[in-house]
Amino acid sequence: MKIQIALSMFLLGALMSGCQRETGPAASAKNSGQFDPHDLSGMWARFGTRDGRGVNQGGAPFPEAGDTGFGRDVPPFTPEGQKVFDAIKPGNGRVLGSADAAAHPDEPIGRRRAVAEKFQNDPTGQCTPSGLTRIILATYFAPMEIIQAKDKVIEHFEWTTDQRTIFTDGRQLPKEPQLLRWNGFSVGHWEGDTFIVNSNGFQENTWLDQFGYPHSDQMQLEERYRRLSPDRLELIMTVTDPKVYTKPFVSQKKVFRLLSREETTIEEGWNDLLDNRCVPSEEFFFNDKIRNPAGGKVLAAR
Amino acid sequence: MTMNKVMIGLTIVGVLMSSLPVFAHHGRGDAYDTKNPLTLKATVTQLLYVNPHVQLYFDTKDGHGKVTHWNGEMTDIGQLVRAGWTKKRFTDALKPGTPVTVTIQKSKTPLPPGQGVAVVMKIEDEKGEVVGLVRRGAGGQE
Repeated sequence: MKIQIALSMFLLGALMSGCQRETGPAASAKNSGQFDPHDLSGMWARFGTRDGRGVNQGGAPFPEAGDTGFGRDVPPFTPEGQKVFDAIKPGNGRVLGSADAAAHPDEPIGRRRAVAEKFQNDPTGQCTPSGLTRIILATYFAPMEIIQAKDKVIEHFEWTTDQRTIFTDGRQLPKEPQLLRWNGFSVGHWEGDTFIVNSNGFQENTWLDQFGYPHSDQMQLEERYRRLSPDRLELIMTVTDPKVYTKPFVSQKKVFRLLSREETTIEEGWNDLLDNRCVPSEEFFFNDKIRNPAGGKVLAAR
Repeated sequence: MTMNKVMIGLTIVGVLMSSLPVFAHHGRGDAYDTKNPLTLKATVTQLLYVNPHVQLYFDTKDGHGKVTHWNGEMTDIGQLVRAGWTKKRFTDALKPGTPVTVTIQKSKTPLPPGQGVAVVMKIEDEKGEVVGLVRRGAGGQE
């Protein structure tokens, strides 16, 4: 009898642990209401749940996620930073000179200076990588998967199928990096329950966000991740870039939602990120058919 | 000779410029007339479930029977897949020849007669049911 009970307990335990493996540690934590604050793994995004009928670009409202931009509390530019900012022509935001822009004088100017397609100079238009802060912010429409290993944390971004590695093996950032990177060099460590990531060595020809806030190759980025609950992850970023900004630029607080297995199922029985690269031939086809004629170029007869 | 060189240079610049794409993956700026959405009876001619944006090609007819061929920009695959609009479901619902009602915001750029470019905000089938997702701003309230 005792053997039978012990066997039943063993089987039950095995089944339960099997369930946990199937759904992943983060999802099982969500089910139990408990979580390990040092476990950041899972698929995270800043859009609300979708029910198949809803509005796109977010589905159900998820206001705690924060907005699409880096931050509204923009520090003053250096003279050089101002020049770079002025040369940037974004397509996102309220249209420059419009009644809509005039009706929001409280918003930073970067968010109300969008121009027509043909005048834009967004580097991503030619498949230039988004750059780290902008790809993190792209989680308002495309998920990010965090993979945690013993000596590193990897963030894998669905948008443009991009990734970055955060080393947690105790190494220091390169003092004077020579081979600059789109997503920089990153090291991370824990302070209490906050995962702090420091990065440098960035290519300078990317924007902080879709509104076209610039940075230089001298940018240092700090990210502070904190798991708030089983299915919420907070991030605050700080850009320190004395070439462009006179003070550190602190981001708005961003909050990610842990996506369920169902939400990330892209083929039957297959949950994963989508293969969502920026492919020049696909871009050019789309530009020929839609962007260019909409932006003022002649449409070929069909 | 110098003039020829200038002409060759200009030609090269011209060719380079014409081959540069107008940018994608960014805001629409003021390319589309967001204030005056149109709701039109249409017939699907082609649905492309592709990156960077899903594309709906459709025809409309005016009161005199004159046809306009439209190239329509839609959302991206990720939005549709995660809302249950898989490639099969979406393309099956929008086969060539399918009659639909589309709500669109058309390009502000004047185009030759019979041609149109637009953002597709909403598609309804013959029963009045929404196919795919409703784009924010449909109806003009951005």
